[in-house]
Amino acid sequence: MINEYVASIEEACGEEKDFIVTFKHAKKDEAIEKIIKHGQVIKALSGVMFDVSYEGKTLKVYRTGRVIFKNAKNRGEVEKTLEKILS
Amino acid sequence: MFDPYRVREDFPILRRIVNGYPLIYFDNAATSQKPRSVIEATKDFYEKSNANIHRAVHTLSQEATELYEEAHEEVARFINAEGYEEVVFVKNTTEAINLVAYSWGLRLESGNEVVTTLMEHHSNIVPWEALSKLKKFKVKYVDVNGDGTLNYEKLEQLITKRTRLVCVTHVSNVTGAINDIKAISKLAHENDALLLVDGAQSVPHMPVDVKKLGADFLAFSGHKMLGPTGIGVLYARRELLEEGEPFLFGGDMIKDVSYVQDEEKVRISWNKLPWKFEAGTPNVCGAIGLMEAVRYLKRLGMENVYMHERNLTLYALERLEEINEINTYGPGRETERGGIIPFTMTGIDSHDLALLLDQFGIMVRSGLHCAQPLHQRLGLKSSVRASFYIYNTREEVDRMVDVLKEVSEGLKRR
Repeated sequence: MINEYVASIEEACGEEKDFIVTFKHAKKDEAIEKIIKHGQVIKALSGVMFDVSYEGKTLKVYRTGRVIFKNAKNRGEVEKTLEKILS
Repeated sequence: MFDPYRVREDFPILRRIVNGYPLIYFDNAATSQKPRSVIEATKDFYEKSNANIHRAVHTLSQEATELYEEAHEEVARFINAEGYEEVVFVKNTTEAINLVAYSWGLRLESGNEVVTTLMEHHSNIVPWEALSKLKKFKVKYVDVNGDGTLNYEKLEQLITKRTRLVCVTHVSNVTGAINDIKAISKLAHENDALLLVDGAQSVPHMPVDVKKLGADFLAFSGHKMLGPTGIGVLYARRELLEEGEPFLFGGDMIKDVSYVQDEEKVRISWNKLPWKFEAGTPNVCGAIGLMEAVRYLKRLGMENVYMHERNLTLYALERLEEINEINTYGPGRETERGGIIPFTMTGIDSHDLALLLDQFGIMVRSGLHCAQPLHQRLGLKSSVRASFYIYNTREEVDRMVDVLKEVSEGLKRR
């Protein structure tokens, strides 16, 4: 499932320990719709960024096809969450 | 002074629309965009003169060799080196610093000290830390002040007769703080130490004269100064290169490899400078692109390049002050600084802010910018960095400020 949607998962530098997920260009809109559908949109900023809560995790979703996983423990946790939310 | 709008016409990429908006490229400290003349020069090389250098007698090889050697000469003149022999082409600034570490630096030993600073890019810290484990010398760090400028009092205390090498950046890649290299050089040389200058953020942006600065080594990258990626420069004084051992070994860096039958051994002698330090087939096309980039910058005039960026930086700092939630870091407006502004916005992390700007076609960097010790020293978890170059305009700064204001207002409403 991840391979169908995700182009890359990178650990961002900085103390925040965020992971930045980039969706494949052709699948980004579909992926974002799934995240918004399965998660709970807490806040939205000018229609370009959404704070989404999913199983106690905070995701920042961007219309350009990127998602920041805030304070994720590791890459495995990010992949596991993506598997579920994109299914 | 040049007209940045005229300059922009030379950069095809600047016509791009990104995420529905005209591209605003403010990530020049990471890499610069390329003018058409550089793109054409590299294309021309592969279409007309591609061949390996120094190896063959045929016409194409001679043409390629001439172009490659001419590139060394052009770069030597650009930084006022004594001659092309003092210019070694490498991959980038990182490789240039590693070359110094693993040719000259191997002579360091226990009791010696290398002095560097907390404002360095990791590439001017990690090689020295790694080598110190091997050679048992000490690496000492000069502190920085709260505005990101170097603490010269600490510098004076740390440079002693035990110091063999001082490694310092000319311009901080985070704050744009400009170090007084002449003063540092004087201090280093008074203590019989050598000076390595990381010029990655200075050579592309201001006049740099190795003789006036008193640099023994100067490292910089081609891709940050309109050239292609994969080509960089190590300048070193001729006698240092002559007495230094090569870092990489193989073809072209040798003069002679002869098998001595009686001794059952191979005897090797090194090639002349700078080829002694350029083992194997080099990045010929990259060198030609770099030569064209240098010519482009020379046509603009490096003093003009510096003034353009300085004016734009002062303007951007003034405009950013309009937003209460924005904090900028680095030297104050009264102090000389390069075209780099790090900033944070209250209530939003740096990566989030960079991604928001990206949605409006504005490319900035976020994170630690390979300078974690400096961020620690400034008490920052990370920062957003806007960095300018010859093709950036006040109009683009206005656009960024407008978007930041919108983000700031949006955050308040949430």
